[in-house]
Amino acid sequence: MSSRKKNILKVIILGDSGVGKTSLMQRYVNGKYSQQYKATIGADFLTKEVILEEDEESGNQGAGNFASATAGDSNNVKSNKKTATLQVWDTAGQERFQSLGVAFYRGADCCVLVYDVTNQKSFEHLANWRDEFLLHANISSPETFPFIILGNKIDVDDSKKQVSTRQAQEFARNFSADVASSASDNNSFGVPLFFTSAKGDLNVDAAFQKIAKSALQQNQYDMENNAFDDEEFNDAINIHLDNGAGSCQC
Amino acid sequence: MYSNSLEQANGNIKQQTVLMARCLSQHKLMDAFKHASNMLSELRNPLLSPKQYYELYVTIYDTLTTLQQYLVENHKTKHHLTDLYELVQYAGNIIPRLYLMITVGSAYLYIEDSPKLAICKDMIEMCNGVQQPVRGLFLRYYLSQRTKEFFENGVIFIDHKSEENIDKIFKIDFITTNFIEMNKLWVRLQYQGPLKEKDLRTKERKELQVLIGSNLVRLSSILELSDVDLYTENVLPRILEQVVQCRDIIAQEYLLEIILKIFPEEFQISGLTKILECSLKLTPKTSISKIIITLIERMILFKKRSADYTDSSVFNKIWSYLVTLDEERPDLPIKEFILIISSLTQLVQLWDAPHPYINLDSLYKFIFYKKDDYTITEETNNMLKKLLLISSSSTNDFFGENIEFDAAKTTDDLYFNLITKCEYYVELLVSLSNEQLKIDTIETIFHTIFDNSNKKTSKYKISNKDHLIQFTKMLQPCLLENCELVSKFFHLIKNKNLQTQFDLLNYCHNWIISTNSNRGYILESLIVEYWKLIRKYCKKINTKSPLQKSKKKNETLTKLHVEKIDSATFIKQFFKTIGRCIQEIPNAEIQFKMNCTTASLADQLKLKDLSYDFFVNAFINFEEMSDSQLQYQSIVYISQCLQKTRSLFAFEKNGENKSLSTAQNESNYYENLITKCTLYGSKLLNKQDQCRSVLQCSHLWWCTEVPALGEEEGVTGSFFRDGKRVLECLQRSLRVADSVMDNCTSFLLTVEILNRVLYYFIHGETSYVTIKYCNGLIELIKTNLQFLERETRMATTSKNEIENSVLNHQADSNSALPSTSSSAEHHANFLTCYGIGIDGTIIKSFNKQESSKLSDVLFGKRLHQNEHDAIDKASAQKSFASIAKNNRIPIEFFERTLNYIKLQRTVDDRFKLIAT
Repeated sequence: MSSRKKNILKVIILGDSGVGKTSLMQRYVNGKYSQQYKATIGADFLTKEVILEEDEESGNQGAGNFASATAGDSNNVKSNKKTATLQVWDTAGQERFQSLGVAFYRGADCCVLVYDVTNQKSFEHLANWRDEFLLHANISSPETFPFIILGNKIDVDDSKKQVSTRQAQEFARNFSADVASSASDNNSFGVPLFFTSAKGDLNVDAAFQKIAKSALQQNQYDMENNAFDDEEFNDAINIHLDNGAGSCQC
Repeated sequence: MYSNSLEQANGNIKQQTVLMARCLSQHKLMDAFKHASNMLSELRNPLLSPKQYYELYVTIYDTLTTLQQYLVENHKTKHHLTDLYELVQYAGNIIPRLYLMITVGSAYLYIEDSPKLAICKDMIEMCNGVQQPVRGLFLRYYLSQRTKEFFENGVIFIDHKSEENIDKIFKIDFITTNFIEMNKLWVRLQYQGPLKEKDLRTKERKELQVLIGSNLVRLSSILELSDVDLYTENVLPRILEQVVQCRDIIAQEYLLEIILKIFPEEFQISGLTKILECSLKLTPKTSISKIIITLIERMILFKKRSADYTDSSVFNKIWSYLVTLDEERPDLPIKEFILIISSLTQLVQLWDAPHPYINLDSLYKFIFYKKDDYTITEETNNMLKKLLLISSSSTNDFFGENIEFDAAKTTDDLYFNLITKCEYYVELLVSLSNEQLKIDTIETIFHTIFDNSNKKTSKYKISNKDHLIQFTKMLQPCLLENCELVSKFFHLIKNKNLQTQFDLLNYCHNWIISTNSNRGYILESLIVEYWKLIRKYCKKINTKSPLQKSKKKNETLTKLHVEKIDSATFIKQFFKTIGRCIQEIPNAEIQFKMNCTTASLADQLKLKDLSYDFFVNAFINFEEMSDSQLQYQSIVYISQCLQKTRSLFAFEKNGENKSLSTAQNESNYYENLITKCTLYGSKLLNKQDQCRSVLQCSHLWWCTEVPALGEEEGVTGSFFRDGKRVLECLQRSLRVADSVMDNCTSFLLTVEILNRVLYYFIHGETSYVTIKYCNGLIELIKTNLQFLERETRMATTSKNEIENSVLNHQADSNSALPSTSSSAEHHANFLTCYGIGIDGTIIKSFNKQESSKLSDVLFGKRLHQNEHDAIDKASAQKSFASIAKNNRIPIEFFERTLNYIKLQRTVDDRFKLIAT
């Protein structure tokens, strides 16, 4: 894997429509925020270069520990800094607009679940989004796959908030309880939870720093476990370059 | 070659990805291109569904990203991208060739001095080579994704910053061109393949739609808020031109929806006219309502977000559009119009608050006339109902915000205002062709109004005639069906000016009379409103006069005088109206009760003449009744009313300033009425009824205190009491009781009379109801009892023992409860609690306890019924039936009275003289 200087880390942002997925991504990638509402249709990504400090434990903001940390740490003890390209996928909150399906979930290194603190339903739907993701993403080990929860719009007046901090922490703490298979050693582990505001630029960078880090760990964990054996493709028998006899030319 | 299955294809792509990566790490670029090309061959498979194709595309995209990164990093050091751009042109198949070309070309865009404009132009030009729809769409989508970053991050295609706008226009042109081509491919897909696969094509097209939409998303992300003119004058017209020209339903509906959703609201308002114009040029089957509703919802959300924004032209624009639509599209089903109007009413409520009613009325007027052009189906009716109830909820939760309107919640007085301020709202409602649906709708509206009017006392009153006319017009269909609703509706009529209030009520009266409806119960509740009015009016006069006196003495005195005359005539007028109302009720029983209560009201207001007339009317009603049971109850009822009257008799002492003759006449009022009442009672068919009626009527000569009038027993000296007449009544009922054939019944009645005798004795009538009289009566009962016992002993000796034990037991339990009052006291309680409430209603003065006592009395009355009484036999209680069957003597009633006398001895020495 040494040939790949830069890792592409694929991050999928999910959540109900209107919770601020696009705004969070725009804030993080472009440092912009727009009051105007533009709906998202389909799914597309923005990329951003990130520099990650490997060994330093930065997860103070998160609630709970990240279980697969051990796997990632053991892999990259030597390098202190690592650059990666974060590919952040913004998705439409409404299924109707994902007319081509959610094939882009595949190969994700981290899944970000966003809810709106002023919208109880968007919080309640988080579990659905998680299940939906696991169903289609073809994840090899769902129990250790990194999820991160963002409670967005914390800049609003307290009176408008519908989801309490405690509720959210509770959910984050018990997040994997119903995901983890019985074979898993971890009795229960939580997922990181951030309270953010794309509008007020609160905690967005910190959250994405954690997201990137988790994604990188997952990415390397996958490389370790799923890397193709070099022997397998030694003789490239199946290679046909431009000799598709009988096929048309388009 | 491409693989046969999706699985194989995925495997191949994975394999080629690994191989390509390995080649790149060894800097074998040509081999890397070969693997990439192999991988891309999978995208040539014509059998893949759009979703499968997308799945492969996503994986391939990632691999090509790796390739592109390599190309950018090794530009100049290992190879020049210009050369590579040339090189990839030699790939044999067009799909791999163009994907590779775009990969290299877009990599070149990263390089500082590259000919970006030329590259972009060339790439989009080359894409024309693929005309197979699915492949073409994905290829152009690839182009769009690869160029996105340059476009959005403002990489300048020109040298000078001053020409930024040219740069933007170039980008717009590029994306728009791509969009136009993609749209063409997309539409063309519909006509590919055999006709029988039309549905499959439609499904595929709907899956692919997001690819075409993505171009518009790009445009949206490039345009900033300051580019609103650029959008309205350049971007939007070009997109809309395509929308119109493609003449394709799926494309038109989808694209317009997307346009309305992905551009900010400021753009929507600016482009409003253009969108509306466009919607007039769509193919006939494209749903106009869907588009307009989406547009309106966007406006609604905008207003919700920025409440300060005001622009009255929005409604005018949509309105003139509606007029044009009406003219140009006579083929449109009414459904479309109703849907548009429905959502428009919501917009108007929000945008034109707080005075949306003129515009709302225009909308209702529009649909009112429009629906005449169509045959109205059930569906139409249901939609109209929804429109009228303002209950249409959006099917669209796209914005993650609740667009639902709950009329009752959002604006409390909405329905009220609609009815009073929108003429055509009512017209439309009344014109619904399904009667049941119409009534349901009206009921829903009214229940909401009632609920709201309960919440706040001041608002939602019908206080002028125009409003009333609207309301009655609306209620017309309910007049026959739902009396309750109409009755409740009267409560809403309220005007502080009582003269006006009177006019309003009169209007209702005429309205009821003019419709040949089930008027009895409705008139009843209207009369209640008149009662209220009279009470209020009198209260007002009484509170007003002292105030005015204190102001200006001389002036106001005369004025006051005039006013008093005026008010007297007014009040008279009020009562006359009530009298007319009562006459119009087609039911003697209701008439009777109304007359009694009105008479009581008049009496309380010291209007003895009126009171007298109404009582007389009540007696006339009484004569019309044929049911003897009803007659008995009526006597009880009217005697209660009469006993409470105060104005009907005048004491000679007080009549100083009246002539003697009138005073005598007036005192006769009461005498006349009570004599009449007693006479009617004594002439009832059934002897028991006769006996009890006269017994009851004895109270008419024995006035009791009414605390509400400030009377107090022992303090107030002017009670009308005539012991002689009381005794006459008692004697009369005793004679009747004696003449009853059945001994048991006779015995019972006598005990009842004894109870009442004791009542008068206790309450101070001792000159006629003497101790001797009491003792005589008790003696009489005892003698009768002996006869009775002898009679029954002969009949049923065997049962005697059992019965005795039962009786003893009952006697025991009676004595164990010393508080058990006699039935006389029961009656007394009954009398004091039963009467007219302060507000003129009959029921109000009951509380739970009292009403239960009342039922006790009524129940008791039934118990005493003779077994031969044909009317009551069926309803007689079981216990009573068993008494009659076994011929058992109801001795417990007598025992109870005797016990009472014994107990009374402890507090009243006189009772010691009464022998038990």
